[in-house]
Amino acid sequence: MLLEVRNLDVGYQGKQVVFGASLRVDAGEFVALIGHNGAGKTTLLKTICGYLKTGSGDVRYRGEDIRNLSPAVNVKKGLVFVHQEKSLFPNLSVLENLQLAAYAIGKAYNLEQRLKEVYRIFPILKDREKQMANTLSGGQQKQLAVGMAILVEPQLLLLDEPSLGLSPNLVKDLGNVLKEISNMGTAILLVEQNVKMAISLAQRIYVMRTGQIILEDTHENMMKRESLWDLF
Amino acid sequence: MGLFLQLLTRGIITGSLYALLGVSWGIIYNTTRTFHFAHGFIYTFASYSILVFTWMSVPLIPSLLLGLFTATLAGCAVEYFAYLPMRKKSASQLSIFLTAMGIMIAGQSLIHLVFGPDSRPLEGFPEHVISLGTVTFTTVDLFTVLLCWIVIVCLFAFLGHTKAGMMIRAVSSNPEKATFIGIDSRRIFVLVFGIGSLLVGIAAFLSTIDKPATPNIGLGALLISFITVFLGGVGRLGGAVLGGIILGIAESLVIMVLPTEYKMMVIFLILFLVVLIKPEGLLGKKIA
Amino acid sequence: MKSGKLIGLIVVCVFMISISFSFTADAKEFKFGQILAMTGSGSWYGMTMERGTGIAIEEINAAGGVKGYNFSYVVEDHKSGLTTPAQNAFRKLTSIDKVSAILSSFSAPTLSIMSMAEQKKIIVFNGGASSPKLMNIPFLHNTRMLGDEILPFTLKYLWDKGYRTMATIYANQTAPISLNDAGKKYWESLGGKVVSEQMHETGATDFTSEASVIKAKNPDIILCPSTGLDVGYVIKAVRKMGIKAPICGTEHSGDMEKVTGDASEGYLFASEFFDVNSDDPWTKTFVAAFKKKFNEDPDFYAANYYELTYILKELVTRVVDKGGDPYDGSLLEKAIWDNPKFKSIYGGYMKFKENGTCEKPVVLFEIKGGKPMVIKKRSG
Ligand SMILES: Nc1ncnc2c1ncn2[C@@H]1O[C@H](COP(=O)(O)OP(=O)(O)OP(=O)(O)O)[C@@H](O)[C@H]1O
Ligand SMILES: [Mg+2]
Repeated sequence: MLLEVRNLDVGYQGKQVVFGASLRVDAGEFVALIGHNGAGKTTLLKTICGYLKTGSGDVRYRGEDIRNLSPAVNVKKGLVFVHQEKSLFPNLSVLENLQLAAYAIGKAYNLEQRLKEVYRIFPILKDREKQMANTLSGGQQKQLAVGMAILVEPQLLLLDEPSLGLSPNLVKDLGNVLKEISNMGTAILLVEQNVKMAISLAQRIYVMRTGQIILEDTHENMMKRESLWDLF
Repeated sequence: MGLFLQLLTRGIITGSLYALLGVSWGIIYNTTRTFHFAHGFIYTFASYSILVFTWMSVPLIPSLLLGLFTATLAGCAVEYFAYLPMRKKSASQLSIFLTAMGIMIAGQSLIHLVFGPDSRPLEGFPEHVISLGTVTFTTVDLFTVLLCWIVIVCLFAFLGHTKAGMMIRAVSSNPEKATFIGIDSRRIFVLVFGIGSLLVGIAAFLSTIDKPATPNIGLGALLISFITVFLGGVGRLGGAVLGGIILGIAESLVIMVLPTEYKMMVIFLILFLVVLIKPEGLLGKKIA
Repeated sequence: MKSGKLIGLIVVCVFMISISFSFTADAKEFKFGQILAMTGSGSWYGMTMERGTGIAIEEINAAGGVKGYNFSYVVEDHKSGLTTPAQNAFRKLTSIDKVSAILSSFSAPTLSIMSMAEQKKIIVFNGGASSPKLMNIPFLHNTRMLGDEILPFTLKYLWDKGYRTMATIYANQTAPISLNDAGKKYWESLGGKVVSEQMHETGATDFTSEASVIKAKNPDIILCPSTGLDVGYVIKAVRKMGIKAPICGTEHSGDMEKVTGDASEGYLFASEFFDVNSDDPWTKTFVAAFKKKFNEDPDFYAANYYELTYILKELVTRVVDKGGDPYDGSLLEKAIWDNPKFKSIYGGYMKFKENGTCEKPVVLFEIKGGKPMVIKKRSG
């Protein structure tokens, strides 16, 4: 088991937002977490990666308790979080954004080779290498954010609504990319509002409602459901 | 016309120093969003450090280097021992500002206590008058302009082309994301305080070879530092450079229309107008 | 036993009577008051002033006093410039010690006692403070000169050298403003022209813009009647702009060269000047006596209070000669105007003026080799 979350309670300034959430992600597995606006998905992810320290419960990554570790440390362990928004450095160029992701890890990367890999997956980034990140289109910005994450070859990728604001076509492309990343062995925990996309991609799905995880089911079972509306 | 050219030249000389002061404070403010009031103390501290070394009969250049080194350490220490613990306890901006002001006042008093209120000149830099047509300046002025711009260009090169520089820009452009990709912002903060203090130390040196140091030189330098930053635009270091030049030239040209008593008033008027018309500063971006 | 006690008593009585006789026999006393800074940050002034008075009194009494009066003083403390202690001191001096004359110091304490002094007709002298506020107050006389009375001496010197146009730059404070006016008026009365006047902020350090303007006007001389280090920063900026015109002012603070470096060479200012190396015989004896007693040269404060004591001596003489009582302050006051000219320890004579100030020997200094050097003298 790569990631195991047990009985997680999280709140902001005394107001509880996540109630007793438990979930797990196995190595190489593609898991989705869906739920309506304000359900607490982002809060859950931020707690897992070590950004939020409030609340109680267990977070284990590769068997180690990481509740007290900072995101900076977790990134070096291969646990990478990609924000829902503001997920890049707007005043830096595309190339600099990518380089930073690698520098910060501090491992001896073959940066050239990793860049080539990212550019293979997102060819547009190569063309825009010198452009400031804040001048990219919304879709391109998402690609850059995901590109920054996969550049460092994470073991577990926490993705917060990567499809937000993308046109259906782009969502499809993004889905393919995620599939490809997953196939290369990276475990993914995908938070999505785009239920169809999430279910079609993931092997296992969690449903969250007002801070609680109310359902866990497999890709196959979810696909068989006639309607998902009862879940929301 | 002769007077205009002369005043313009003075403005550029002063403006260069202001630009350096601006980036020294701006790099700290843009990156850490700490209203580093104690910057003024670091300025005074740098000046006196250099002086103390010369009094121990260390030659000028080594004294300068040693003084800059201690000033840099002092800047880092203020961040590490004062602001950082407060930020950790998620202290409010206001209480950090008040702490900074406390350090400024206490530090200034301490310097006053140790060295007295006397003016302390830094001797040994050759000063000669140079005349080009109607324009006159001195070797010290020339040196000031050259050094300021060399330092500013080096700073921008450092920020633009080194790993550390890139990380500083990353933290200042999106601090939360920086944490998530594994940049230790605490280290970057200390680094930035070090750089800012080094720069303000150089400004202090340039001003002390021109005019003697007193325990209260820091306040004026601090005022100029943050006025240039807010004038030029928060978040853009180039803004501080522009702000400094504009301020220097404006301050110098004011005399053509008003008595110089009103110099400070004009500076604040410019700042006020800019903030009124373009609150984000001349080069600043609208905050979404 | 009994007779022994009695003899003892008689001896004591005889001794006491003889003592009291010896007092009443040859000495009436003229006692005056001093209100000085005996404690606090200015205690050094109080000390040096009292030394001056002390030496004068020793000399006067050794020479047999004045018209049958021995001189003495009572010193009280205004704690370096506080008004309440000064007023208490005044009450004590006038009601208990019953003095008719007081030597005071510092502006604020002196001003604070003057309404009481006028009421009780006590004559007050100040030889320390030089604020213009001390002018034109009944019963108060200052033995320091004010800047706007000294300035013409400097300007005349420059005029005589053939300079005709002047630029001025002065701080936005009472004294520099009035000095600038006085200097300008005097220069114009000579027939000179003021080509530029600039007021600056007190405490400013960058005067290069002002200097640029001066340079554009190309004056023959520059007048800067500002105070403290302001003058130094002005001189520095002016020389920095390559302006060679002579600069004059009204004072020279001891640390000015820290600002100017050697740019202050040639700076001119006039001042009342107590010259310890003067060849005036009276000055010589005073300096020698002071040196013998305190093992250092007297400064001008000591000299002023020494001089004041002698002025009192002269006044007492005048009053007693006319059959008056020197403990009547109004008689002392009147006696000044019999002849306002008094011998000065600065050499020559000094003269009291109706406005409460005086004329004293003035000298013109020029900075040479970083130090003020006397280049011209004018006697009072
Ligand atoms: N910093 C914060 N301080 C206080 N409350 C917060 C904070 N961040 C989130 N919340 C609250 O916590 C709840 C859960 O927010 P969260 O962002 O985790 O939801 P989400 O499931 O990610 O929603 P969405 O799909 O809209 O992104 C919301 O009610 C939100 O208002
Ligand atoms: Mg969210």
